[in-house]
Amino acid sequence: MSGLLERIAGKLRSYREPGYYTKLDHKWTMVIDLDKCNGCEACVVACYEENNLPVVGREECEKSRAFSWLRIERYVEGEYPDVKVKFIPVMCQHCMKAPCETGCPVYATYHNQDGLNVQVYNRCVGTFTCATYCTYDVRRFNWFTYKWPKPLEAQLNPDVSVREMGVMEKCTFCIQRIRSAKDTAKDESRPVKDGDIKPACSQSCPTGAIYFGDIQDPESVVAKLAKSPRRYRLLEELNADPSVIYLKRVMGDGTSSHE
Amino acid sequence: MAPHHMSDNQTGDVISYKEVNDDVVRTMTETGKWYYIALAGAFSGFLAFWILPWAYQIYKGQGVSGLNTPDFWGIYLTNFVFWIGISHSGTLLSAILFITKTPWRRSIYRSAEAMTFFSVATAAVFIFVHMGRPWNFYWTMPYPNQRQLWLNFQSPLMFDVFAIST
Repeated sequence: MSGLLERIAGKLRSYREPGYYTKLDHKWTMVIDLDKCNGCEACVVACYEENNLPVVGREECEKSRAFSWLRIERYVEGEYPDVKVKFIPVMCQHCMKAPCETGCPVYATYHNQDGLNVQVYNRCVGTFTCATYCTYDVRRFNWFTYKWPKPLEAQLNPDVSVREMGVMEKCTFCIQRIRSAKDTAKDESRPVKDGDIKPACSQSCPTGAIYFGDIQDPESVVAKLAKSPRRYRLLEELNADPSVIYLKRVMGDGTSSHE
Repeated sequence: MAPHHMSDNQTGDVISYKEVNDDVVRTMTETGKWYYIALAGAFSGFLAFWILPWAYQIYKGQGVSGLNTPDFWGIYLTNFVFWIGISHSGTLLSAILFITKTPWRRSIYRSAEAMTFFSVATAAVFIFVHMGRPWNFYWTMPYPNQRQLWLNFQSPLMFDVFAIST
């Protein structure tokens, strides 16, 4: 009995230790090598399939209500014969100092101990504050309760909830895959290995441009790639400290993109 | 000649204080046809411009409101800010008159505070209409609950809730 009380007291004390809110169990990071990205949008399709995103149709897309959590930004330079096209896949950047988290009145979006910016659908009341504050424009709103036509409902991913109207959602870094990888690791009583987790976009990328892992582990692929001289982050000057790291594309004439 | 005559009107008839009094209080004792017509108009306007569109929006989803993906804060929140601004001006007016202890302030701040009250009520309407899931509005209220959750007092939308409810 006293041992149990001691354990509970120890647990409670650990919440009060300095650094509890800043020290993370993992810090999931995505590294996107723009040199390898050819803009095929396979990641976008994979994201739709994995996360039960509704296909809203042409009319809604014209109102800019396309539901993709992950979008490819296209930059075209030059006139027709000498065209340079650059692509940047943009998803939720899982900012460590996220603007959206200060905005939500009901804590529907918060930071968890994995360094992820999490959205709780059941908690959301739909005030749009997070989406208005988002610097990267990646939050998507359920304008209607979307329905899947009859045979297509069978393809829904059972690991991911289907959202109803009136809630905000965004890229989760495929949190269902992170959870299942952690569960498997726990069953085998080992820490999560680098490469255990592959989000849908990373898995489907034909050129392997998207890397995913824990940057707190110095041996992981992302930790090594993050030291690259080509490294940059989107809108870094805003100091939101995003968790998605891009590697600049080096053009044929030696210049690099996005400077 | 009646003992308490007041004055002669244009036709030369004499009217008593009782008749004057009856004329003045008639609106309190009987209601005319135009009153009911105006009331019906007000109610049907209320139904047509608020209740029915709002019911449609709740049934279909926020998508019918015309808000789009980068512009989430549209006409609803603008209207909310407009009305809450008006209500603040009414409070300010009566506060200034109170601080300066102006003797003639009563008639002014009666109307200023009426303006405050009604425009706050109007602003509250727009907060409900703005929300994606208005049936969960009580989640923004700070009270001890079994959901084990508390509110984010950093949030500006939380300030809105307090601006309305206090």
